[in-house]
Amino acid sequence: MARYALRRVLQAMPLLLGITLGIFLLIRLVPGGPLSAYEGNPDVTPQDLARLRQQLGLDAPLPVQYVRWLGRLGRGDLGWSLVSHRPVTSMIGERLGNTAYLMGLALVLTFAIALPAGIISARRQYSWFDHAVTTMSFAGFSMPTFWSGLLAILVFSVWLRWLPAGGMYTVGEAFSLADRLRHLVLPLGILTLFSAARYTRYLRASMLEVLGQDYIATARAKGLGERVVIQKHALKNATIPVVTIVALDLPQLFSGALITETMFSWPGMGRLFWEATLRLDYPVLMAVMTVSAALVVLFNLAADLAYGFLDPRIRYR
Amino acid sequence: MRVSRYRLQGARVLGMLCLLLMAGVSLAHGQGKPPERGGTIRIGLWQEPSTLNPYYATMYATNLVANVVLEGLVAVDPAGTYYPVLATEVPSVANGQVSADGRMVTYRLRPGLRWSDGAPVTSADVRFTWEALMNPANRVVTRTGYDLIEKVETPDATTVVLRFKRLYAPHLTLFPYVLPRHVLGSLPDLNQTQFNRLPLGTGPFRIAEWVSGSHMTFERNAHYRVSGRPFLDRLIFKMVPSREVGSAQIKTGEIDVLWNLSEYQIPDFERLADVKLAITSSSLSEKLVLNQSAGGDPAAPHSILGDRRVRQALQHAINKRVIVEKLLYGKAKAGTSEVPHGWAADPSIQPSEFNPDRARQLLRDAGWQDTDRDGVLDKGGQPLKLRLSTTSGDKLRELVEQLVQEQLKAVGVAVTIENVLPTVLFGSWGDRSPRKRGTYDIQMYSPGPSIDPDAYLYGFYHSSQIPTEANAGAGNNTSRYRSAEFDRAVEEARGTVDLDKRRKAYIRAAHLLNEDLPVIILYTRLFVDAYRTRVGGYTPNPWAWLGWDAQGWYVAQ
Repeated sequence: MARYALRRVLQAMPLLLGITLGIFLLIRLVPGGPLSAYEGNPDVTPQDLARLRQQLGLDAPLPVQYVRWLGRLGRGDLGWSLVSHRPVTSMIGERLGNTAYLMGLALVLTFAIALPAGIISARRQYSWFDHAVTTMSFAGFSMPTFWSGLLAILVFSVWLRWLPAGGMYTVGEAFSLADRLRHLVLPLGILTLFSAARYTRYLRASMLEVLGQDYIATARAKGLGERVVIQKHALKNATIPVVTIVALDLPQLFSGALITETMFSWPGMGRLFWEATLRLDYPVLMAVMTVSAALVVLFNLAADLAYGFLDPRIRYR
Repeated sequence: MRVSRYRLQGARVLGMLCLLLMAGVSLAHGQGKPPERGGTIRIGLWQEPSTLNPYYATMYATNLVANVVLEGLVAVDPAGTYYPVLATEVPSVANGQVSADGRMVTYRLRPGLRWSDGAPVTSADVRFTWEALMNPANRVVTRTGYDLIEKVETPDATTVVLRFKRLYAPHLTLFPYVLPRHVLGSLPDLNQTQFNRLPLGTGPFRIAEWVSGSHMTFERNAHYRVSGRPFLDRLIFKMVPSREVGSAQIKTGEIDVLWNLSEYQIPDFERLADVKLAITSSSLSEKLVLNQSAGGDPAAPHSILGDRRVRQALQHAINKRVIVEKLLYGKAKAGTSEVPHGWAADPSIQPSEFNPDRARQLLRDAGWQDTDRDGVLDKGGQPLKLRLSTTSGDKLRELVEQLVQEQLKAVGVAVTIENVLPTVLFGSWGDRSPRKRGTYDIQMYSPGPSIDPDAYLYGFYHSSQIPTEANAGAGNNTSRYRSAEFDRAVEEARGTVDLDKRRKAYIRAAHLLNEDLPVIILYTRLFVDAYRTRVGGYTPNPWAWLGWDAQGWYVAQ
């Protein structure tokens, strides 16, 4: 297994290299650049623009710029922002905790809701509980977060004045847990609503499929209690497809939720990325996308390894 | 000179009156008793500054925030008149601080000035600011004007003498921010200094913290030169991701001030009892830039827009007042001139006449007729079809485009709308941007002059500023406007420091633009800021940034 993991990691290297090249080319294909903001400004002369291009290294041929970037990456240096001239690592460092905090809590809450809801509604298919869960999850799944989020702000912040419309805490006031929680309710609620709805659907479908399998009938025929049948035999197998989806979602702990963070003024990675996109701040964009890509590869490997644990029939060599 | 100063005074009073009326701001508010010291005001910013070193960005947000920390030698009041800040007087030929040839400018600093850490402000700081701007390692955005300074002399601690290589007419716009030499003087460059995030200045506030993506906190500067000011203990700039979210937050009271609303949000705010709008007319106009060249070559006229009669027809076909009334709730002013306000403006210029019959006549004169009876004029087999583009995602601009499209259709001109991202619209020559390359028909955006129109009028309309292959796409004369008379006017204006002569030359230039129409000025854009009623003491200033008078803000009781 260790050898398998090592082999997979080594295999991922050329893939990641290819991804960085792809991202690099894609970003550079976007018309404009970090200096576009100064074009058309009468005070910024062509000489100024030429000087800035040279100072920022944007005058070098593209392959040279890519190799320079790669060289820095090899030394663990993500480069400097072309707009704020700050190290990208410290810009990410400021935001990462905030994103992980929001996304992590959302993930925990999602499972706390989706696991029991999915299992029970599959176990009691077509019961009133199943119907209620199905309806709710369809509703949650069908509402895009940019819509439900704005609606929530309108209702709970503007009309009812119960909750703040954005931010992580009330700025300018001393730390207070209650204040933090009040700011957390809306963004966390919106994120959880959406992903819990999704996971409930997957779990329910997957459980239903497993519950119809012969080995479940066998387990029941052996006289095992329902609890053991569900927990030991059904759930473990039913989570395999879900693990794949979780693996794809986990990199979001890093990259953040762009729409939700933007709507709720959450100072996280999603907004950093969005702001960098507006200015085409190449090093910041490259850093966020490369790390996200690496995490996707990493978590996929973790998911593959988890299959082996969940289903003893799966073996890696 | 005396005459011109008298006139400027008059304009100033008038301007103040207009501002008061337009803004609906009650300056009388709390005038009975002096404002109480203390309290916090929160300002919502929907754009986070990339840096707080204003020489490293052209962003509004950077200047807006830096403005409460850093100060310059002189600044501009709401009426468009210079007033001294760190200097004792605004230099002029009349007071002897500008030499007759304009190449020597003397500033005298106020005595006893201190940085917010208590260190004295001296003429050496001004010289250092110039040195920093000219330091080849520094990635400052522009050096325009500073590169014309030969040396900065400091005969004593409070006297600064700028010696120019040649006359620089807008010299008063230089040094809007003075940098502290005792903090920065020993660094090889300013690119990555902590100062860019936590600047230290002479302004009414000093920065306490900047939490990325969240907020910036400012506290009272104990060394501020005006005793008793500022009134506020703290000023907090809170980042909001968009105007819409900011609007929600000012309604809930999470912020007290919201910077720069869009004009379309005005009616929504006018219904609120506890939020007031401060509206001023800016010098930026939303305009249609008409490409006069075929594919960017100024020698080859555009097959449609190359004819001045067609450009005049388009202007007569557009009802500017309807745009203002329908889309701007009557708050903006229909476009008049490229220099709509300030000391260089001709206030007598009226908006162009809406006259579709005259438009049709002009088009007929130019040879355009609807021979195939499809509702679109044609000439020699070519239909009168024009492409119009602006920045995508701007609701107001999209509505304006649709109105223009409708109005031009009425006279037989077909307009197709092709909007692009701002980074694309303002792309460079190397990016093959249609604006630079001259491969567009009509583009809509809103540049405008600052308090000194020199850079704008010269850069956007002088014939030497046409982007071409030969000059690697330098310059902003994207309409490919060529007029020897206009060139002479702007050259004359930049050739003297006599404000009265300069004003006359600019007025001539503005009239020429209205005759030749490289551009149709639709309306003057508004600066709209919102304040909760608990904020007192502010005055909107179209020539400065919100917070320019933050030393006088207070919490209204």
